[in-house]
Formats: sequence, C-alpha cells, structure tokens
Amino acid sequence: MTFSSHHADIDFFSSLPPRRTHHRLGGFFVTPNSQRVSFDTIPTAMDFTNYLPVLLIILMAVGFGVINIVASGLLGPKRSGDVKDSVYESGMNPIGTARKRFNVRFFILAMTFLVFDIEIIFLYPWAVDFTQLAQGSPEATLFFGRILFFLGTSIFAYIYAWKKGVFRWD
Amino acid sequence: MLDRLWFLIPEFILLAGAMVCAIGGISTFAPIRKRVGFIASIFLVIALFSVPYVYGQTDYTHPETMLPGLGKYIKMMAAFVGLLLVATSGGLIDRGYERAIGAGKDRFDPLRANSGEFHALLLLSLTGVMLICEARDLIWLFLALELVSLPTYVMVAISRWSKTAQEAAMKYFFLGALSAALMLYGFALLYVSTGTLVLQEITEAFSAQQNNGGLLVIAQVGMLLAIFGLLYKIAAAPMHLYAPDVYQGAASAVTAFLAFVPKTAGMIAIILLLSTVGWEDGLPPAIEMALWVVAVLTMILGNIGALLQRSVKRMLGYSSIAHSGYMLIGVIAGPELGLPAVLVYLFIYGITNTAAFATLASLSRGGKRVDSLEDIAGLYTTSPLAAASMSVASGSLLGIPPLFGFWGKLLLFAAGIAAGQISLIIVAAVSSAISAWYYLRLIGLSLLSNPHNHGERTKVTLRWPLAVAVVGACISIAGPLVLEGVMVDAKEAITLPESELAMSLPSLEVDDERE
Repeated sequence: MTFSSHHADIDFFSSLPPRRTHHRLGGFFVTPNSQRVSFDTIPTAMDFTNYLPVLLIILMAVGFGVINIVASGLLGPKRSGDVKDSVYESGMNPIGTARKRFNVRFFILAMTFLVFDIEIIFLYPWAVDFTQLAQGSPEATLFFGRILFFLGTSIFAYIYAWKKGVFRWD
Repeated sequence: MLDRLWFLIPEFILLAGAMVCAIGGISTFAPIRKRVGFIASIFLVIALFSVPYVYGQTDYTHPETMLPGLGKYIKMMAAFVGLLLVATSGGLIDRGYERAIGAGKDRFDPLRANSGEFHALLLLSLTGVMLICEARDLIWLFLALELVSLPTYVMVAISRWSKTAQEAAMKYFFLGALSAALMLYGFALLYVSTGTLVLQEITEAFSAQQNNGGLLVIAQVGMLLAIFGLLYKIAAAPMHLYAPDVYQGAASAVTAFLAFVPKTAGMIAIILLLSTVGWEDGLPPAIEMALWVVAVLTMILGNIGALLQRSVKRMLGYSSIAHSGYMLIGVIAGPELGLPAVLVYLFIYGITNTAAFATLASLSRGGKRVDSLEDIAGLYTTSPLAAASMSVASGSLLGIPPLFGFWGKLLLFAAGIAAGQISLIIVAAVSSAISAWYYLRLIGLSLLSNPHNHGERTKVTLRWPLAVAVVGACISIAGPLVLEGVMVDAKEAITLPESELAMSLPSLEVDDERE
C-alpha cells in the first residue's frame, strides 16, 4: 500500500555542497547559500492540475446554490399573508422553544444506526472489488476473512448494545 | 500477510478478552459480573505468555517495521504492567452498586453496570500500545495511537461518579482531540515532503534529502508538529497542562493507567518517527534543539510544579511530567545507549508509579478517596504495609541508590553524558535534586509524622490495590537483580539495520559541535 504515485523526478539541489555547514538552528529558519525551498522542489502537493476536478465541483456546487436563490427571487411570484409568512407554511404551528432536551436514548439509537450505516457503505466497494479476484485464490480468502472480521466486530457491537438495553423503552 | 497476522496474536488475544469482558460485565449472573477483572487478567496472562512463543517461532519472518525487535519487549511490558493495572482497579467500578443488588435494595440494570466496559476498554487500550510496535506506515501508527487514547477518555469518565471526573474526562478529550489534530497535520506535511506514508520509504526519502543538503523545511516542520502532538500523550512541557487536573479528577487506579499506557505509546511513537530521520549523524538540528528545550522545560516545570501541591495525586501527576523529561534525555542521546535506557526506564517507571498510585487507590478516609497530603500523614499507624510500599515506591521514583528507579535514571544520565549532552544532564541532576523534597515528604509523612487528630483515620479498604502496591514495592527492591536481563532485552529491542548502527557511533566532529 503505497501512495507514492506522483514522484516528480526533480533533482533537488544538485548544485549544492554535499554536507550542510550552517549553524544548528539555521536549518529551520534560514536556508543557507542557494538552498531555497521553492514550490517546485516539493514533489506532490504543488501539482495543482490534479485539483482541477475538485475546483470544478466546488464551482458547480456554489453556482447551483446561487443560481437557484437568484432565479427564484427573480422569477417567483411574491404574495404575503399570515399563513404565507409563518415558519412552516404547510405544517403545524410551532409550539414552545426548539431548545428542548431529548431523551439520551435517541442518541444511543442514532449511534447504533451509524454503525450499520457505515458498515453498509463499506460493503459496497468491498463487493465490487471482490468480484475481480479469482475465486478460491489466497487473496480472495484473505479478502473474505477481512470482511468477516469487520462484520464480526459490528455484530458483536450490536449484540452488546442489545444486551445493554439500548433498545428498551421503559 | 500471514506473517504479519502471526505477530499480531497477542493483540487478538486481548481483543477477544475485551469482547468477553464487555459481554460478561452485563451478564445477569452476578458472580460473572463481579469477576470481570479476573477474566481480563486471564487474557492478559495468556497474551503475556504468547509473546515469547510468537516471537520464538522461526517459521514466520517479522515484517520490516522500523525497529523489528521492539514488539517483543513492549508487548511483554504492556501485558505485565497491564496485569498490575487491572488488579489496581479491582473493586473500583460498580462496588456499591453490586453491594446494593446483593442486599436486595437495587435491581440489576445493564445500562448502569460499568465494570465490563471498563475492563474491555482497558484491554483495548493495551492492544493499541501493542499495535504501535507493528506500525509500518503513518496511518497504522495514527490509528493505533487513537486506539490507545479513545478508551482512556471513557475510563476517566466512568472511573468515579463525580463531577470532577466528568470535568477531567471532558478536558482530556478535547485537548486529546487537539493533539491528535496537530499530529495528523504533521503526518500530512511528512507525506507532502516525501510522497509516501510508509515509514521505510520515508526513511529512504529523508536520507536522499539529507545527501542533497539537509531535510526539507517542510519535512522538519511536519516532524516537529507530529512530535508536539505526541508530547501530549507523554505529558511533556508545552502540552502538559492537562495532566495534573486529569490525574486528580480520575480515580487513582485510572490515574496509574494514564500515567503509564499513553506515555508508553507516545514514547514508542516518538522513537519510531525519529527513526525515519535516521540517527547517523545526530538528529536534524531543529528537531534536536526542540527536543532539548522540551526536555529541559518538562523536567523543571514538572519538578517545581510538584513542589507546590497539597494533593498527592496532583503531586504524582507533576512527577510523571518530570519523568517524561528524563526519558526525553534518552531519546536525544540516540540509539546506542539512549533508546534502550528509555525502554528500561519505561518498565521501571511503570511498575513503581503503579505501586504509588495503587497505594492511594487502596486507601480511604471516612468513606472518601484519599487525596491530600494530610490524608496520608501517619499512615504507618493504621497500615504499615501501605506506608512501606508508598515509601519504597516514592524512593524508587526519586532514585535512591539500591532501588530500581535509581538504575533507570543512571542508565538515562549515562547515555546523556556519553552523547555529550552535559548541559542537559546538569539540568536533569538539579531538577532531580529538587524532586527529592517532595518525594521525601511523601516518605516522611507516611512513615514518620503523626496522624492528624481531627477527622477519621485513613484506612486500607481495598485489598487488590494494596497487593499491587506490595508487589510493586517488592519489584522496586528486588528489581536490580534482573536489571541486566531487562537491559539485554531492551538492547535487542532497539536493533537498527547494521549500516545505521555503524554510523551511529559518535564522531569527533559531532562532539565538537555540541560543546
């Protein structure tokens, strides 16, 4: 498992003397002689072409929001009245403050849900990858063993939560 | 892959133990619930004996981690001290609740029983320490470190039914999250500067950089940030401020855990990270300078802070800060003498510190936990055994010659002198002399002074912690007999590749630079 896909083959500091001779603290704050750390000496992070799709998605997301708000402001009809101006136009009227305390059991239940939510999300890429491995090969066995271990931990967590009485409402 | 799994057998044993403890703790059958600590100890013993077997097998080759020998030593140490720590927490969790159920005054409700969780989390945290030794890349290292830390937050919170424990847990959690973020940022910068997350490849990239005129600045900044994140785990100077509050807020048994397990984890992680820079011609100046400053500050602030305390737990908390400073001397001194000395010191410190906190855990005064210096005054009148083990433990922490702690300090200081860090050793010696005041005060109060007349007497109420304290004190006395064996093991644990070891001998030029 390596992440070293973008090694740029740049010969760092090839013109420099081989040993550093500067003062102890010097290396941190001041780079001696011609040794400059410029952007092109740092291998991976400054290669901004990789980030172009990300930038596009950000632009699309922001644009979608802005366009919708502006368009509905420009195009939509504007009528007002008591019912129209209420918080939930077609819902019930709000009663009391929103800062009420909830029973802590909701949170425990939500966390138990999260365990399985994440498990399902994780199973998808696993299943896609698993079909690519040769049936019965050692890699496939190992791959299968890993997911069994993972499922085992979540099932254990579920049994534990059940026995602990998380799902009991009394 | 199978090779890799084979060496994780001790971890799997502890994981299984954690599961059994968690389920056993909410069993409706009371005898099982009450013996969860016993179950945890059984699994720890199995793990302890599995380590020599696992590492003795020649059918499997150990994967190429940074320090391949480290696992055996650290896993045995973690399992052994873990055993003491489990016994220290005996009778801590759910004692009153179980008693009420036994008397028929209360009904068993799994939601209110914490004992199983506590022991499961304890085992998981120890698993994390063991996993750190097997780290081959930064992601594994980070996850293992989090596995050490996350259970400790919960353990602090459930150790006592009091607001101070809750406050301590919150403080510990938020600052821990901050330190983890710092560390991750450091890891990210290390990735940026080398293009890889695998420690071996980072080492290669760094040596290439060093041949080209020194580490990149971004690599040095990344390394410094990662180390500063880890300083939180070992409670060293700029990141030490949480330690006294958290150590005081948690129950004594959990404090003993906090003072040993995360500290060991942080120390190993620092050693692993610094191994990537290579020890050939010393650490890079910026990193060495930073470590030097941190070590000096830690020793001075820890020892002076301990002088000012009225609470024994806070005092021992500050003392544990100071001990981190001593251990950093070994890190600065390098692999030849320094790193084995750090490992030996971790073992000695773990046992003696556990003995000191176990004594506190066993005592109570008028139904309350013992905390202030007043509470242990004249301890010898009610419990000579507790007073004796307290005195031996604090004597060993101070480093009084025949005791175990002295030899640990001797090794560290000798390593520092051999590495030419004279000024550092002078600071260490002076602050160590300062520490004599408060350690001797503990000895004097428990053995010589008269008990306070007002209020109730301090008594031993829990047997298991007292047993741990006595065992710890005995090891502190008899330990020097096995010191040589421990040293050999620690030396084996730090086995660098041969080429690096040959170059790590101090050269004249390096010495001149240090003067």
